[in-house]
Parts: sequence; C-alpha cells; structure tokens
Amino acid sequence: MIRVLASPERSLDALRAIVVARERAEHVTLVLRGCDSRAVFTIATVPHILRSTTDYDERRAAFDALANESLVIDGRPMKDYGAIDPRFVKTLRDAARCADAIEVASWTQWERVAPLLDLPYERASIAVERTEIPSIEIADRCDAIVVYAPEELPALVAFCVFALQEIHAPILVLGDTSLCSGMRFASEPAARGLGRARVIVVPGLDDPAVAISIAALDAALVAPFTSGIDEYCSGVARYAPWDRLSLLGAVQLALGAQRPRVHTIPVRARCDAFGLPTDGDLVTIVIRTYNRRAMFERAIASVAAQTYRSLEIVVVNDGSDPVDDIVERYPNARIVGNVTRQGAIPSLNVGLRAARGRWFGWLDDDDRLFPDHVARLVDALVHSGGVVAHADTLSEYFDRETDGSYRAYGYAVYLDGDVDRDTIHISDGIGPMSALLDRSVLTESGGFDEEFRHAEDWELWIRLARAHDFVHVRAVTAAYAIRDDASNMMQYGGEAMLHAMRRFVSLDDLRDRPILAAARRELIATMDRMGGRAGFTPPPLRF
Amino acid sequence: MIRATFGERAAWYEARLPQIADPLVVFELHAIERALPAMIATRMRAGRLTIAPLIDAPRVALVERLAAAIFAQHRETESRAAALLAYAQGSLLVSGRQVSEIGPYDPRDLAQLREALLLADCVIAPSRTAAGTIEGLANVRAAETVLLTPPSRPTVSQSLGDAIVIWDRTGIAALRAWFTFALRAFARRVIVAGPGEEARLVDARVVVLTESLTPLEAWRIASCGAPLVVDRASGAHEWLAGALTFDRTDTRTLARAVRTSLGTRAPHQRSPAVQAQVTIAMRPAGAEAAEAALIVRTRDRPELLARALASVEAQTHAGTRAIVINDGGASVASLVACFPRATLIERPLSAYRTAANEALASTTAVFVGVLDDDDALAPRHIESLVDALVRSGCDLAVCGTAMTYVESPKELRVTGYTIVDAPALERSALLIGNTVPGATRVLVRADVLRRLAGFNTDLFVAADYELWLRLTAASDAVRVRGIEVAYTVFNDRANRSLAPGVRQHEALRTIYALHPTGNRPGLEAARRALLGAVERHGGYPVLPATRSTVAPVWLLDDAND
Repeated sequence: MIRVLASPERSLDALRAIVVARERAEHVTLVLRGCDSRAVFTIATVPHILRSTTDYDERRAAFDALANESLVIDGRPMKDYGAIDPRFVKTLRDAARCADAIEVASWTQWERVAPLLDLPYERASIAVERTEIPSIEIADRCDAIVVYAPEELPALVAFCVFALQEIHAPILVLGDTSLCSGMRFASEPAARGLGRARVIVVPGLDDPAVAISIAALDAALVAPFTSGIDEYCSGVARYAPWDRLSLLGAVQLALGAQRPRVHTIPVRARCDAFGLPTDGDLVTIVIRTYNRRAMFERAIASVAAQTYRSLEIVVVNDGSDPVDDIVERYPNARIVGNVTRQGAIPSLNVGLRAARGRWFGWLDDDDRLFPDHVARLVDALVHSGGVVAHADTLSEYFDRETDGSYRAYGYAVYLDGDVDRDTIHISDGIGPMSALLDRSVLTESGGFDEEFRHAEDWELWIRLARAHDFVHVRAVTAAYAIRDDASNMMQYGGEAMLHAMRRFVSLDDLRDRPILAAARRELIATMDRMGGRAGFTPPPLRF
Repeated sequence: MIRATFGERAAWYEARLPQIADPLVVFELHAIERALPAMIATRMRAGRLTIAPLIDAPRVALVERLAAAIFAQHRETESRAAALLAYAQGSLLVSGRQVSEIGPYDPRDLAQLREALLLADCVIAPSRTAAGTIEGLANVRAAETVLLTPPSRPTVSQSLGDAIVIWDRTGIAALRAWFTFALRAFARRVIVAGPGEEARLVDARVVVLTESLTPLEAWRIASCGAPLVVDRASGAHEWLAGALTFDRTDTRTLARAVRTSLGTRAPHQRSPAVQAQVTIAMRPAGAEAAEAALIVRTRDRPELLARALASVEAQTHAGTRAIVINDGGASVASLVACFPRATLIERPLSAYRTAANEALASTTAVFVGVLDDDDALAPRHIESLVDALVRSGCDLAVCGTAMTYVESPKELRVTGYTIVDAPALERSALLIGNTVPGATRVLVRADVLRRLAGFNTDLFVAADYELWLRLTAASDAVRVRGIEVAYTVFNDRANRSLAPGVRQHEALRTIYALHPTGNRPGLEAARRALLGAVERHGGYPVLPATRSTVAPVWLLDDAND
C-alpha cells in the first residue's frame, strides 16, 4: 500500500504518482490535506492584510472583515476571489478517483472537502497518526500562551499571534514568525517553551495529529474546529480559523479549562481494494489494431498484466503489418487477423466470434488497462448478477515528438458517466475499454452493428440498456489515449459520428418521449454545426 | 432523571438514546420554541443539561416539502426530471424566488438552536455528519459532543433476491415518490417497503434507505446482507464501510449510487471508534476551600430577593456566601435569616453607590461577585468561576447569561428569553463600550479589587463597566463556557441601569475620561458614535428577546418548581 499526500497545489504530482503506482498493481491511498477553501483563502489573505497597513486597529478591522466575509481586496469584494484554482480542484478530484482509497484525518475535514471535490461521501477513510513532540523542561511558572506551529505556514502563525496581541500573558511562538514583525511575542526552544505553557494553541487546519500528541501535556489546548480535533479529544477549546476573535475567545476559555482528554486512539484506515478475485469464469479481451505497433505493444502488455488470471487475449489485426511476434510473447494471447482491412467494427465482431470467455471486453491498440481492471469488473458482475459493468476511464494526453513517438503530457478523468435507458439516448459518458459484459448476451443481441462506422459502443449501450441495468464500478481502471495530432477517431470521425446519430434516430424515434427526442435533435443539430467533431477538452494541468 | 421530548419524532428518538445521568431534552427544530424555556429552566435548576436535537439537513427538509408540489405540477417524466434537476442546481423557482434563496427553517428557530447549544453542556448527535449539520445551522460549537452508540443488530430477513428495495420508515407519499422516480430507469423491480414488512427484504439485491436523520435504521437493515444505499445526511457511512451514499437533493446521485451498489458487497462495520463521553470536571487544587462572596444590593423586592438567595443556597461551591445590603428599604432580616449562607447589612438610608464597597470591606472572601436581587444563579455558577480563576490565575472570570424578559417587578410574567454567551473579552472593544453587560456573571479576585480601591463611587450606573476597564488593564480575563446566570430584564425598564432619567451618556463620558484610548483614532471615532447613540436614545439599546414565549411562565414559579 502506497500513501500519496496531496494538497491542491500538489495535485498533479499526486495524480502522476498514483497513475504510476496503479500501473504497477500497487494499492494507493490518497491522503488529502489543505483542501478547506475558507482556510486556504485565509492563509492567502493574511500577508495581504499585514502588508496593507501597520496600524493595529486597521488590521483588526480588516481581520474582522475577513471573518465576516466583507473584506475588500484591491477594490473588489472578497467573494469575487476564488480560494483554490479550479484546475487544481479538478486534478485533485481525478487523483482521488484514480486512488484505491482516500484518507482524511476527520469526518469534520471530509464534510468540508467532499463537496469541493465532488466525491461520494463513502469514499473516505478516517485515519491519523500520532506525531512526536519534543521533550519538555517543566518551568517554575506555567504562564505562557504557546503557539505550537513548527510545521505551519508563516501566515498561519502570524494570524494566531495577531489574534492574541491583547492577551497579557507571555506569547511564545514555536514556528516561523517571519510575518510577525511589530507584534508582541517571544521565541524559545520547543522544550522550554512547551514547559512554560498554560495554554497551547495548535493551529494546524486539517490534521489533528499534532494536537492529539500535544494533548498529552499538562496544558489546556486550543485548536481550529476544521481539524476535527473533537473527534479525538474532549475538552479542547475550538475556534474558526478565519476569525481572530473566536481564537481570542477560545484562548480565554482555555485559560480556565482543565487539560483535554484523548478518547479516540487514531488508527490506520483499511483499504477496501483488497479481496478482489484473481480467478473465476474466463474473460476474453479483444484488442483490435491497425499499424500502431508501439502502442499495441503497450496495450497488450497492460492486458497481460491483469491480476485476474483466467483471461484470454484475442488480437484482431485489421490487415496491418504483422504483430505476431508481439502476441507470441503472451501464452494466453492469440491472433485472429483479417487478410484485408475491414474496418474497426467488423474487426470487433471477428474478435467476438473468436471469443470463448463468459465475460467479454475490448480495447483499441492505443488504450490500456490498469492491472485490476478485469478483477474489479468481474467482482461487480458476480455480486450484481448483472450482464454489463463499466468503470471510469483516464484520458491520457499525448504530444507527438519530432521522431514520431508520443509523449504523455497530462491526465484527466472525463469518461465517468452512468448509463441508464433514458439518458443514454443523448449522452455517452463511458469509455468502451472500461466495460465488461456477458458474451452470450452480446452475441444473442446481434453483436456490434456493422451499419455503423463509428459509435458502435454507444449503439450497443442503447440496445442493452433497454433490458439490463449497467453496474457502475466507481474506480478508474482504463486509460484512453488522446493525441494532439488529431488522430483519434473522436476527433477525425466527424461525418461518421453524424451518420451514427442519425441512425440512432432511425432505430428509435423516441415517439413516446417527446422531450427526450427534442433533446436528441438539439444534440444532433449542435454536432452538425461542429461538423460532427466532439469538442476537445484539454487536461486542466500539463506536466 | 429528567427526560423531556418536543416534537413528533423526538419520542421515537428518545427511546433509542442511552440512559445518562444528566437531564436530557430531545427536540425537533420546529418545536424549539417550546423546548427552549424547558432547557433554560432545567439548566438553571439542575446545573447541567444534555440536549439531543433531531434535525434534517436543510436541503433534505426542503425536498420533502417540494417533492409533492413538483410531482403534482409536472406530469411528464422529463419535465419532472428537469424540475428536480433545477432543484439540485439551486435554480428552481418557487413562488418566483430561486430555491437556493429559500431556507427551510424559520430563522428564529435557528437563533434558538444556537441558544440551545450555548445552554447545553453536552450534545448527543446521531453521527459526526449530523453533529456538523447541527453546529453549522446553529453557527456555534457545542461544548461537548457525544455520538449515539450503535445498538446491537437485530435479525432481519436475509436478502437473496434481485430487486431494488426502498426501505422507508416514514410512509410519506411524496418521499416515496421521490425515491421511486429517481430509480425509474432501472430494469430491475423496485419495491417499496417499511417497518413490519421485513420479509420483503429477501427480494433485495440492493436496499435503499430513505432515512436521513440517523444511522439507526441503516444499522438495523444492514443485517440483511445486501448492499446498502444511504442518505449521506444520515451519517450511516460513518458506521458502515461500503454503504453507498446519495444526496437527497439530487435524484441523479441516488441512481448513481444504486448503479454502483449493484456490484458491491454488503457493508461492514468500520473499526469501532471509542465514543466520547461527558467530561467530568476535576476541581483544581485550592479551589474548594476558597470563599466566594456575592454582594446583593436590595430594596423592597423581597420575593425576588428570596429567589436570588435561594439560588445562592443551591450553589455547589461550599464556600459561597451572600452579603445582603438592604439599601434603605423595609427590613428583610427575617427573610435573610432563612438563608444560612447570607449575612445582612441593614442601611436605613439609601446610598447605592457606596453599598458595594461597604460589603467588600466586610468580607475576607478570596473572590467577590455581584448578584442583583432580581437575578438568579445556576447551581454550579460559583464553582465554575472559582475553578476558572484558580486554574488561570486571572483576576476576572465571566460566564454566559440567560436574559429573562419579564413584564414588570409587579407582574412577573416571563415574555421571552435571550441566551448570551460569555464574550471574547478584548480590551480594544471594551474601551469603546461595555461588552460584558450584567455584573452578575462576573467573579473577581477580592484582593485585586481592594488594591484597585473597589467600585467607583462617582458613578451611579456603569460602575461595573468602569471596573472591567481597570481590571483588564493589567490582567487577562478568563471565560467560562456555560450559561450560569438568569439575568432579569423588565420590559417596563425597571432595571436600575435602564431606568428613565438615568444619564448613561454622562457616565460614559466620565469613564472615557478615566480610560483614554491612547491616541487610537479608530477607537475615538467609535466612542463618539456610541456616545451619540446613547444620548439620542436616552440610554443603551436593550437586546430584544430572541422570541416571545408561547406558554405563560411566571418568574417565581420558574424558581420554585
């Protein structure tokens, strides 16, 4: 199990690390920090307030406006400013979707983060680790208010020190005081400072680990409510980390309070990704390829690396240069090539006819699967009693290098929709490589419709959704290549796409669903205006 | 053991709550108007209070009310779906207003919820999610939160089937319609069942629970062994790993959760967290032996004085004393004699301004406070403040107040309440105006008070405010969380500080002169503004009651019950 620590500004690094780990069949837990919009905004605003004036009362007024959300920054109300770059949010959300598990330090934190990242509430596990605190030298007099923030940002330290300026007791700061010039405070080594503490303020915004450890000392504790500290300790004075007065009030409360009591021992979360099947009914994965040897090599390797072992790989070479030498490397792979090129959809039916597995899936030579793809989908199919399951797909963006090779420059998750028998008429939000279905049902329904030149998977979903519920596995298990040279089908197949849409209409005119039919007409009109090309959505961030 | 319920569902909830030593008030938000006076009375008499609010998350509450109207107004599937989507996105128009602007709750209920949280020593919440909802609606942090403990699991029918079962405890038709509509596009059978129909769970491949208030029903139904889909507002996912969640405001999230749950296993219990328990306060060394004297100035209000002295007798702090100064009124000697903790100083002529210092000179107590004869104390008031002063080493401790609005000293009918928390005591704000009105909620060190020459005898009113300024010039204040004082406000302005003709602005000028701001233009401007307002209005504005009580309550009955 790999743990990847991520905050919004480090979201791209986290996403890359998770994708690499997933390629290696390693389980990944994403540990989220720094995602509380209001707290992030406060940290960003503190230096601005402190630099805008040195007058104490003007600073007080500005901090109060920050708490009341009425602050004006450079002539604009603070509500005009976003706290977290939406590109970071999207990337962090994608990282969360790619991870096996998400770990946060408290439900309090999760309640504030889940809506921002638009993640299902059940995804989170709660865990926090105890941290080491320095040994202390007990002083003769415990009279100080200690701000214990050795790992925190200078803005967070300055916020606390400013809020406590009207306290008479000594203020000791263990942390970066570079923004505290002109304020009343003193610095001491941690051992001596903690030994003088009557009250300890631990301003960590979203991880109560330090506060839990500090709770063992013989001092009252003050911490922001966003940290979820009350889920671990009783008797902690909590404050809103954007409201200086609430911090002052919390310290005044703590002055007369007894030391807190730790009531919940932090534990490491369990990852539910374990326990997937490694064997069972045979699965057939068809790979269709046409003259993309390097990418095909990558695609077949990803299928061969599946953790589910009861698997056959059927390669359909649609009349291109031989790939037999690659296929021969994999004992469970065989090739059923066409002598002359027939096209993508007839090739798929060739693969279907050659398949022997109970479950059937397919991918193009530029796609790839993560090692747990088949295991997750078989698991879902077995548990649901269903006939078709699909997971989510990662879009991999490639630049073409001067030597003709492709280099990945970004990731995003866009293909993560649901299929139901209504909305499937106007929206296809799943990647075909992310699906696995009952081969017998597919065969009995007539296989893939060769009247289509494109969107054969969409047509299949429409057909199957009439009688079957699609099972959605909420995990990213496949990757779909998007190349900047516009060589993807979705980018060059304009007329084919329009042809497909018109054929949908001829197959089912949705006469009894007039509003749905109208929505589909509108969709076709829009695609017509775009020449049938789907819009290209770039990744939010580039490597 | 006191356990009271307010609201139809509160009794159902109360039956599932653990036995606790504290008095417990269980209420639904719409019943808080009735519940709050009971909470205040309980807190003031028993000295402790635990509450268990049962509150729907706001948007959940709204969808219950809107669903019926949406289904009645829109007959066509896509039209209904569009209306529900507009609701989910906050763009639905209700009576010409966007639904995102509509709060389902009466703001006065929410104000009183805040007051209930300030009053309570402990809040029982069904889950962390629910605790967050309660604190968010109240806009205040609970003193302590204890979570409901999962009950032992009863056996329900084991699931073997292929249907989607909607398990609904409420029987509300609009709610069932919302769930059924959200699952309209599934090919599988959708069955609606509720209590008494547990046998129908054998048909379930997936069970969807409509319950949004607590995780209790999810915990019970989880025994059937089918995957569960639960309202995220219920907090069931905190207990049951693998339970899928949906957002009641958005039908798409329900369909998505069910589609995912089809391929999952039944949920299992998360690692049991140790539940928080009510913290038992340990008294600091030296606190129990310290004497605390309360100065009670009175004049011809024997009934109210008796209430005040009774509350002194009920103090849990053994060293509590009352020094009664009869300021020129009819003798109260026989009355005071009934209260062993009280001593009496009879003054034949009124000299209100010097009375407090005379009482101060007569006592050797370590701590001193003022108790107006029309106010009353909760039993742990002195204990809490003494402990805070001893622990902190501060010179001044302050707690919260239940302001009780009464018609007049002659007609002691309570007309409303306002709960006021102990304020964050900031000297800058105090230099402008009295942020700690009501001297009864403050306890100070007697030696410091003597060193500062006691109360200012030049001031007829606001002597307490002037004292706070002197005390905070060199010492920190300590706050005590808790509403420990019932402070009486007479609607006819019979309170001394509110009486017509009392020249508060002159007192304010005197105090400003004694305590200059030290060249702080911002504070000077604020002082001028306050002075002008006090002069214009003939005194300080009185904080209004949050809401008038419905049932008539009598102040002395309140004390004597």
